[in-house]
Amino acid sequence: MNLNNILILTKKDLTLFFKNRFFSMITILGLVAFIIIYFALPKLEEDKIKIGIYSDVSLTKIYYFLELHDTEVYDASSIEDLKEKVSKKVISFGIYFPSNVKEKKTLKLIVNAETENEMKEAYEYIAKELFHTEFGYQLNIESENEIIGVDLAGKQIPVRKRLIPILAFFLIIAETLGLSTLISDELENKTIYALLSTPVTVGDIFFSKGVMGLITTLIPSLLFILITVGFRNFPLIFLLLIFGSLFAISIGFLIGSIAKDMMSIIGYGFVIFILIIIPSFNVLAPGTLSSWVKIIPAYYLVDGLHKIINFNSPFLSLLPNILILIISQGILFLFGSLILKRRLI
Amino acid sequence: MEKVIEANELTYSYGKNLAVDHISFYVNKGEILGFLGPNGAGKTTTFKMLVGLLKPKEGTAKVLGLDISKEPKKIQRRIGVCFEYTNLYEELSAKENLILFANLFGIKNFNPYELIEKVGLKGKENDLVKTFSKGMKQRLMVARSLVNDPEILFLDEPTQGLDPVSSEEIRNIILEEKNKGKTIFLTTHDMYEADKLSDRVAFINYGKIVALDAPLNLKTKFGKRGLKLKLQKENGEIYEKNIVLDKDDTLENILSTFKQDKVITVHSEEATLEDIFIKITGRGLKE
Repeated sequence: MNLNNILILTKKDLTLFFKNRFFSMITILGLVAFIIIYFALPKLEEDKIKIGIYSDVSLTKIYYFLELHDTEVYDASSIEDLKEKVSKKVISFGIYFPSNVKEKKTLKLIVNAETENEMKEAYEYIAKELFHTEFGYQLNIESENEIIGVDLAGKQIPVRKRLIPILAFFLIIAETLGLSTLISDELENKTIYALLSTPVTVGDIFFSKGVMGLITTLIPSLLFILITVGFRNFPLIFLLLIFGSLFAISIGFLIGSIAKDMMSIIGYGFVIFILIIIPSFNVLAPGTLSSWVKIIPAYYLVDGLHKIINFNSPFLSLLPNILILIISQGILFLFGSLILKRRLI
Repeated sequence: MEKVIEANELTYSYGKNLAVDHISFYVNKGEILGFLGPNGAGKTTTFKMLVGLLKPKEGTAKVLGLDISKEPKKIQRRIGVCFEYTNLYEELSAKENLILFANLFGIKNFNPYELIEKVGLKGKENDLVKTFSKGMKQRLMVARSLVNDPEILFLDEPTQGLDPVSSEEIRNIILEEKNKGKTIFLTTHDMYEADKLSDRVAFINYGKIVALDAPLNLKTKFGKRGLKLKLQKENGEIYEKNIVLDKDDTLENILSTFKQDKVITVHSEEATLEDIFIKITGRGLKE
């Protein structure tokens, strides 16, 4: 491979990419729109609190008080039911009033392991207020944690923070169509033969496409991350974004090698995009998807970004994600190359 | 005479379909070799092998003394290639297209304006190629094949689908390059073009070279020369007569005809390359 040729071809591809108004609009508007979406969402986590109650004694004033304050209440059928609803995040927290609550002045506060400490304190304060409302005096609190998962415990994430990995992922994959178009055009317009009849090699052409793809996928997502997350965990995020970009490039390469024109690029792209955005929902609403989504390599990109951005996960816990991305990229590139080889003859 | 292209038993097949079947030929330096044959005869496959885009399945070929299978990139530095289809970057200007390729050849201080003027596109330097007519695009393709001042020009059907004026302009550029001492490998199915431009022509049919010689030699060898006369009888009736030349009774035939009736017009006739191609292969060039 010749570095000079790669630079010349990359410059040419970038010129062609930005001469295409559709793709330059997607790049710029996508970045701007996602930043606006991020900042338009509330900074705090969901403010509506749903309280679960299970009591061995008769409660009268609490329900009236909560209704007055427009707070949703879940009446648990047992303490186990209460714990289950807390663990599944159906309710924000649970309060168990044992039969001796009045004598011991003690109740059980059940909170999820992922609940931030500040929120736990807030829930304890609410429980104390409710006890005071019902019985007229102060009480001791015994809180019990339901452990759900180990790694991600201890932090409630606002929606907009959950959206960061998803939007960064969308910015990465949005650029694949541009890359596919450049590859497909090179084949369909047969300009690739003009290039190959010069000192340029097939390696130079595809490496330059890769560089072009890396620039167009990495820069918008990197800018978005820097604006929304800043430099926190930057080296790890940067590393994962590079692998994410390479994943998008491999998809673009495959689509470009199959497609014959813009319509077929959109057709293939649409099907592939639907498939690869499914894992994003797992970040937005954890536990809503079946485990089969893990066969989609895109899951490991979104999941990896989610882990670093929202849980400060260390490199070792991201290693499986990175390895799976590398393997899937290799497979996609291999398929793309085989198809291209057939088309070039 | 220095041979700059030498093919020896060159063969290529697409699966089971044998496109080029053990062909051997050479091209001398400074010569134009016309590769003449109908569509699907194997012209473009041979062309692609010689410019290093396809690897021969059998046989060898040397271009400028270099093996096309082993050193295609070294060869490509020294040749210019013009394809039968338009493969320019349509979203770039004429100037940008030429500069891109000049950069890929590593040419310093390249002046695109000179080439653009040479192919008659002066004033269109900054226009996007997508706004060009087919003739203009083809001229730009020829200009692109000249950016590295090549020693050999490979031209695949350079005038296909062009109007007569554009075709003639491209032919003039080809002759101009020949006069500069460049070697030209020209594939075409236009017998007029092959006849006008080529020092020698190779007839290719179903992947095999069936004849290779100078156009005049082929005509002498395979064609019939003749006279076409328009005559008038004493009673005023006008009729036509053909006399075949180079036969034992030709002179006698001419004299008796001229004595007998009034000659209105006389035209000499010679076989075209197409006639000869049909005679040799049994099929036309436009099939």
